[in-house]
Amino acid sequence: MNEKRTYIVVSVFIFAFLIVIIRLINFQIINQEKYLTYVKKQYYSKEKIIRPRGIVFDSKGKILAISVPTIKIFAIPRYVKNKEEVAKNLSIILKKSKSEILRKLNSKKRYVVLADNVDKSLKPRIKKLISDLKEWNIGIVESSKRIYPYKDLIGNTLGFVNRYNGIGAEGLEYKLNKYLGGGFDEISFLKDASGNPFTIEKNKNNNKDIKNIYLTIDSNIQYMAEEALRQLIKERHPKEALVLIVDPSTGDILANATYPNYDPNRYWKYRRFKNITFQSAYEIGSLAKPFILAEAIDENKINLNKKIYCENGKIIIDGVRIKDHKKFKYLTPREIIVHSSNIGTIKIALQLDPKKIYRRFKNLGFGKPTGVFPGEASGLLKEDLRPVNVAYASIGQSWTATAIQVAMAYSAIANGGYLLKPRLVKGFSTDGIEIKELQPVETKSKVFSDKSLRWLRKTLQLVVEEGTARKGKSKYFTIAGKTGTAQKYDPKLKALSNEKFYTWFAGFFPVHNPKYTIVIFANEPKKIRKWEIIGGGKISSVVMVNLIDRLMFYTKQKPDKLYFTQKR
Amino acid sequence: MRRFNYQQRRDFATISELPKDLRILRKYLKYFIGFLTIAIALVYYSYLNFQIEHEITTLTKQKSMLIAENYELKKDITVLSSPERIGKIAKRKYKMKVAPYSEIKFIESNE
Repeated sequence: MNEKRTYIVVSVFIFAFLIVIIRLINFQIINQEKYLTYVKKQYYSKEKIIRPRGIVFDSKGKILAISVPTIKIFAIPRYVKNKEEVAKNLSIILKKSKSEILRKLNSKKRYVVLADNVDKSLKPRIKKLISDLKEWNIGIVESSKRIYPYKDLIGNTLGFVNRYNGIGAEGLEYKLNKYLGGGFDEISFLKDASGNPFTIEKNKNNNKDIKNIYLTIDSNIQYMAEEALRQLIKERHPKEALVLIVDPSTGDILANATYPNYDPNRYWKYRRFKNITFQSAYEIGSLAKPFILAEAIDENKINLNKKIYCENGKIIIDGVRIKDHKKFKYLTPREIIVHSSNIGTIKIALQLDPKKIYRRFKNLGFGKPTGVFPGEASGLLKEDLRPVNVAYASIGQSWTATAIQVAMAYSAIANGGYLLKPRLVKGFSTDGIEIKELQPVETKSKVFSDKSLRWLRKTLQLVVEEGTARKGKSKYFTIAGKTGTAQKYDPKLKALSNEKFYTWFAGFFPVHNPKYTIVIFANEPKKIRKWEIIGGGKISSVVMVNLIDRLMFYTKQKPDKLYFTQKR
Repeated sequence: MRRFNYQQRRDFATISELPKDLRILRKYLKYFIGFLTIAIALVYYSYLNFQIEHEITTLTKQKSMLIAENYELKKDITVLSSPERIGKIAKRKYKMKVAPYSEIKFIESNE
């Protein structure tokens, strides 16, 4: 009987133990995740913090944008016992005013942020303060701050990250959100019975998907371009201006200096974030003339040795009078480009099929965005076949283009006739070692014949050596290019202004092995002297003189001008 | 012969049953030891888990501090190597100028 009873008792104990062990195994091992989730749901509430983003490098590996880890200091005011003491000590550590911290601590909010974007090296000191004062309702949470170490250098191309939500809001930061990551992350607060958060508990990080981005921009070339642009602004006080440098063989944008510009570190202090290289379209003036000549050569509609009468500076088409900047009489097609005669170009254009002229402009990439930058302008290119409009179109009036479209069209002259898609982003990397190409070099089509290219290169070189851009020529390097001056429409006069202009220079150098395409633009540059005539050559010369030799020296290029090489 | 009362007889009976009970207990002792070992192992597993988690937390904190320091240093290096700063030092402190091409000699390389 006793033996039987003992068996029963032992069995009951064993069974009870077994149940406990099985439950323990179930809780601790098999369903650990599930039960932890239940606990989190029941006891934690979630709050958002800003996640770090990937680093943006220039083409030489220099950092252009970086997310530096920082800390955010929280408090749950109703549970902070000695507010005066906390405010006093924190103000010393954070170098913030005591009254400001005290005001936050006396707030009736459930929790307050006492300081944001605090240097993480201060964390141990703040932790010590919390433990010394036994104020467990002051918390520290990891966060991050986007920093642009070069300040406004390439500022409006990089864009910025919204400081409240950590997402790229302008420029490349906006375009590359998918790769750079960022945005919000979650932190958890332990809740009391009534659901009020009382302790900051966890910081969940999920930064696996972020990538570092490598741009085509070279920060040294960018700096040179910005310095040269500063000279132009100092001298001419334009409303807007830009210097754009592109590699004509790949379409890589090496520098994009624009004015106005901004410092992305303090973007909220600025009102204007437009990047005029991509987001504004202007009339290109005489920059369109070489394309008309190329069309005439390719269509065999021109005798390159025959002189054309330039009507002594005036022509009337469809009852509209169009003037030249000088009274030219007879000019060869080459002289028409070198001296930038409007009437000569118009007379050539009127011999061509107007549809083909517009088709050529479109083939050169005008009238549609290149897709390299967010919010890009397409430019206005409407087919209007009336002779007066064809005449205006041939001299770059009545239609608009962006600076990047101009750069790519002139790059086509430099690289053997191929229109390329511009690139701002070279590639991305997740490990910082292997760079994967994001956008390969993309050739759209051949847009110039070899015959027209040979003629254009020689002619555009003469424009810089003897023509309208001669003030910007280099002693050491051959430059080919074209100046452009477009009259601005004056709403007061309801006509084209004789005082307000868009001035341009677009070209490439060295002529026989082009390394760089350059576009220089100014909107409403001011006269230095009253009697001065504003023109693309004069305005751009300050940039050309200050930039081209310096840029070639930076890339260790040997001078290619014949007289110089012979002298050596 | 000595006579025992009822109580004494019951005591003797209990004592005589004791070895029998002990035998039964001994028979199940290995099971008890087994359960006890499992219980101790579970507690030790929990303890080890806690220790490792603590170590991971400490190391993660250290890592995050080092990462932050690294990023801060990277930023500082970039600021210090900015072309603007180097340009200013070169011009103002060392009175350097951009070399004119006329003063540069190019050496042809056969490689």
